[in-house]
Parts: sequence; structure tokens; C-alpha cells
Amino acid sequence: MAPLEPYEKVQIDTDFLDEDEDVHGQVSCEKCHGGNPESNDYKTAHEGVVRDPTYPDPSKACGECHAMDDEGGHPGITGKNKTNPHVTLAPFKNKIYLRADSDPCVRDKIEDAMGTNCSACHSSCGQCHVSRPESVGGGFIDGHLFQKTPPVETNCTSCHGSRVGQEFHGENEGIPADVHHTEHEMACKACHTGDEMHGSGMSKEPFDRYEVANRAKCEDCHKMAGSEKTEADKQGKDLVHPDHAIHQGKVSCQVCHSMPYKNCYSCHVGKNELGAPYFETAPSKMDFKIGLRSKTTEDRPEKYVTVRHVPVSPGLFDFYVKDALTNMDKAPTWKFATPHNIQLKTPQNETCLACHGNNKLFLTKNDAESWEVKANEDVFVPLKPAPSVRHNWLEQPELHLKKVDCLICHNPALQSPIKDCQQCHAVDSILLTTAEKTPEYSLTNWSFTNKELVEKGNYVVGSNRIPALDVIGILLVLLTLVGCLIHGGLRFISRRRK
Amino acid sequence: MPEKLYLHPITERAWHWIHAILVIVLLLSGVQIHWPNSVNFFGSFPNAISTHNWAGILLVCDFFLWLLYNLISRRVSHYILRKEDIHPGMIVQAKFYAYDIFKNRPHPYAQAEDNKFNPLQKATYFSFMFFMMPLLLLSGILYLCPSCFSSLISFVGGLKVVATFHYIMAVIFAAFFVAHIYLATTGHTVFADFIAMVTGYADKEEH
Repeated sequence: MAPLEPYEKVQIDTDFLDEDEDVHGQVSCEKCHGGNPESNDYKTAHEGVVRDPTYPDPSKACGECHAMDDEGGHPGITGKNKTNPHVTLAPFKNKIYLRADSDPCVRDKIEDAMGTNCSACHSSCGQCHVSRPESVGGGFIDGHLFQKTPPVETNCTSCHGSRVGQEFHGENEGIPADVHHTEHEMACKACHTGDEMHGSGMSKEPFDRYEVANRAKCEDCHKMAGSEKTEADKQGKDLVHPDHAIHQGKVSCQVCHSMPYKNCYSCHVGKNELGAPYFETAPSKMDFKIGLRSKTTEDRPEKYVTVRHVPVSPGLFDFYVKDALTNMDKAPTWKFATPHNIQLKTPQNETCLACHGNNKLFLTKNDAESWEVKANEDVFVPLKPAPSVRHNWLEQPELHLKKVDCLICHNPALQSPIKDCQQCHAVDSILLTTAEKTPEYSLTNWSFTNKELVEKGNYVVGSNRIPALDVIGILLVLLTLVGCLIHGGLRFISRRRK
Repeated sequence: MPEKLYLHPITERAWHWIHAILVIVLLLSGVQIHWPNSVNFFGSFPNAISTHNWAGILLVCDFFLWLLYNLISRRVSHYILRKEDIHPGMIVQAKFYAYDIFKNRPHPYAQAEDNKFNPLQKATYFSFMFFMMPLLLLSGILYLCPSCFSSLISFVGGLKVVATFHYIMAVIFAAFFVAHIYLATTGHTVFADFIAMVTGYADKEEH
């Protein structure tokens, strides 16, 4: 995001005063920002002026027009401010306090540290709809004109830029942009509605940001093929691939459809010699890890999800207080994540075996520092033996895994996988896509039975044979036997005549 | 009491009967594997496959032990055709099986401790044990572990070629097996050669 010139940050556009352009321009300045318009003195005129009258409490500046409560007594747009995670940063703070030492003195110092270093990353009504967030330098979006939908670049990705923004726009080297961006030019709002942004429908602050009501879900647009759709359903591509029926409810969409994403490690906050807050992190890593989600919910039941390392470390607040986070084990450092670099085809969904048995995709103890092993115990995926080992009841498991489509045996329409070899190794093999008749045994039939399989490069014993060779083989053995019997018979007769 | 010849040392007899059992097991399991819809000797298709594989591996070991034994002990000479075996030996022996045997004439070539096979036996055993058997075993080994020999299998035309070749060789061995058992009855008595292959001793024939 390009920095603004100082005048750009504060200069009010004359259009703001045009009622047709922005009704807010009809409200006098002091009504929202305070100050004394009657005074001609600079100091007294600016007494009580606030730069952002919507933070922390927007009720005075916005509440008169934008109801605190609606007619049903539920929070209105302004009333939602109390549970709006963009304002409260509650999910972030909750995780810190979960890890914090129980000593009240330590907690006070953590609160100080967070107030200095972390809490600046909040937003407010004004810092989304009028100006850029203060944490990124502030400045009007467009000459104080109110924006119903905050622009992506100046407001959304100015905060959510280093991970989500870069993923979505394809700014990570070698990783393509999200297909929703490249193919459909969708902006954040296409999925993340105002209700989600404002924390609508929450009776209390969400503990975790994924607990926000009305949050975006892939299923809002992408329905299983053939499922009933309501008018509210948006128009995304139907889920026609049979893999969806197998994995739905078990594996999050991102596990199959996202690319490697940024993981952050270790953060230390402090103040420099001038008293200005700073933070330091270890270099981030592009990685892709599948972990377990221990707390599944009805609307998000998937157990296998993508997880991202968050930049927390035991020494986060060491500048302010030593041993502040003595309960690091209470929250995982590999967190459920929804990377924003969705692709239809990814390396891990190329084939079944690109994921199943590909142990490097799964989060294990080896991916964690010793201090975070316990914290992530519920996230680590217990590795299963390699597919060739799990299929070692088959003769030549490697060959079967290489040649046979997994879905032939692991047919989603069946309750359990097929384990009867003769389903495939038979005249009427289930590997066939075309109906075959019983082989015609004749000396003229020199083509393989079920030749569809052979033509695909798969010789299937018991299913493929050459009828003419079978006839010749049986005749050869029978004629030998008959020859021996005749010879033996003649010997017997000649001996009797002796 | 006819004079006895010690034709088959214990190692050869042990090898022979192990070889015979393995060949029978391989033929039966092979038939089930080839026609799984029509034949069931071993209970199930996987059983037949597993039995065939293990018997095949044992046969490979059995073959190499036989080869090593015969080379080291120089008893391989029993299988080598001499000049006179080729002409007139093979024709004389063929004439015996085709005509003289019905006239109850004696075997044209008497067994001896240093020359226990007749010319046709030598020619047949030599070609089967030194050419056909290695080819059968080689195709079986490729068939057993196609992942290990994928480039060689591709070179010869794929698994379908290997499998077809293995089948053809198996059919030839099945026919040989039938003929071999029958010809074992053509000793000076019907059971003489069977007894010799159990005891090691054969009656010395007068010519």
C-alpha cells in the first residue's frame, strides 16, 4: 500500500459537503469530533477534539442515526461494536491471557505491554469506513467521504496483508493467487459480509475468531451437486467430484484446495531507546501442514484442517516481564487456518496418494519446538503406516496402489472397502467400464478377454487371457494324456499277447 | 537276485520329490489363478496367489541348489549328450518307444551309474532344466515383483507379455509332467523307476 502525503491524510474533499455525495457532510464537525466552533482561538477551538470519535465507543458519534439497538431489542449496527472483534481484538487477547501466568501483577504488566504494542491493531467504525486504520498510519480513504464498503487495499489488506492479502493476490513467490481473485475478481466482501465483520448475532465476545457468527463458509457458494438450493444460496461451482462425498465433514476444504502459506514464528515486543514500541519476529516460512482440530462444531465438523503457526513464543513479553506466559501449554501454537490461496488443483489433491501417506503434509512432533510440543498435542496427526503397508494384505500392494484407482475399492457408495480380490480378478471384473461377455473359447480368438484393461496398460490376472492360447494349452495337455493312455494301452495289450 | 545299481543318491532323490511336489502345487494354483471363476483348489483367490508365490520362490531355490549340486559334483555329465547319443542314439531310443516296446524288446541303452539317462531323456532333461526351467522361473520372478523389474518388463512388452509367456511355459511343463510320469512306467517293470527314485537303487538290466 503506497503511503499518503500528509495533506492527503487530512484534506477533506469538498464533495463531502455535498448531500448527494455523503449525507454525513451535513453533520457539523463538532457534533462528532468535539471542539468549540464558536471560538476563534486555536487552542480553545480544539479543546476536546478527538481524531476518531468512533473508538472505543461509537454510540455518541454514530448512535444517533445508526441505532444502538434495533426494534427487537437486539444490537443495532452501533451496538454490535461491543462484540465486534475488529474493535475488541477479544480473540487475540483471549489467547494471550489463556497462556499468561495467573499472578495478577504479571497480568497487569502484560496488559500494559499489550496496550503499548499489540492493541494498536484494532479498528473502529471510522477506521474502516472513513480512514485507514491508525495502526497503518491512518489518513482519509477519500477526503473524509464515508465508504459503505471499505476498500480492500487501503483497509482490509493494510492489516490482513502479510498473510491473507499476499496469499489472495499471489504475492508469495511461486504460489498462484487465489482462484476467487484471478478468475472471479472477488473482493473480501464477496465472502466476508458486513454481519461477519461487525460480529452480528453475537451475545458476547467470541473467544476465537472462527466463532464469529455469520462467518464466511465455502459451502455458502459451493453446494454438493444435486443438493437443494435456497434462493439465498450464492452461485458457486457445484461440488461434482466424488471425492467431496468421501471427505465432506472430515476434511476442511483448504486441506485439498489451498497451497503453501505463510507461517510466523516467535514474536518479541519491547520499546526502543526513544520509548517507541517495536516487535521482532523470526523469519516466516512458507509451509503447508494438516493438523487435527480437537474442538469440532456442528457447522464445522472437519477433523483434518490446515494449521498455521502463530508468532507467539514464551519470551513474547520478556521486555516488560519475565516468565509472563507460563501456561504456553494451554493453547496450541499451530492454529486452525483458512489460507486464502485456493486452487482447484493442488499438489496434494492430484491423486489420493499425493495426500494419503504423504507424511510431510501432516503436522507431527517433529514440526514443533520442544517448548510447544505439549501445547500442540491435540493438533499433531498420529501418522499411519504407509499405504503400501496398510495394503500389505494384497499381493503386490505397490502395483495395486499404482495401477488401481483408489475409488474402485474405496467406493463411496459402499459401506466398507472392497476386499474380495475376485471382484477385480474375474471375467466380469469391476475394473471394466464396459460390459463384457463370457470369453469365447475358440482357436480364432487371439485377442485378450476384457481387452479394455490391457489397452489401459493393466494386465489383470484372472480377468485377461487369450482364449485361443487356453484352447491350445488344454489340448496340448489332453493330447499328451491321451497319447500316453493309448501308448500304455498298446503296451498292455502287447504284453498280454506275449 | 538281479544286480543293483545305485543311480540316485539321496540328495538327488530329495531334490526330485521336493521338485515334484512344488511343480504339482504350482500347476494347481496356477490353474486356479488363471481361471478363478471356474476352479477353486485352495479355498480362495488370495490363497492360490500366496501359495503360488511361495511355491515359486521355493522352486527357484530348489533349482539353484540342483544346479549347484550337479556342477560341483560333476553329475551334470548325466545330462550331456555324447556324439553317439545324438546319432544313432536318439533315433534308436525313439524307435524303441514307437515300436520295440510293443514287441517287449529290452531297452536299447542300459542304465549305468555313470550314465543313467537314455539319449532322449538326456535331450529332454537338458533342454527343460537348462533352458525351459530358467525361462519359466525368470518369467515367474518378473511376474512376482513387477515393481522391481518395471524397466525390464516394459522392455519385453509389458506385464501382459510376461504373463502370456509364463502361461505358455507352464502349459509345456504341464504336458511334460504328464509324459514324464507315464514314461516312468516304461522301466523293466511298471514301478521299477518309481521304486528306484525312492530307494536310489535300480535293477541292472541284461542286454
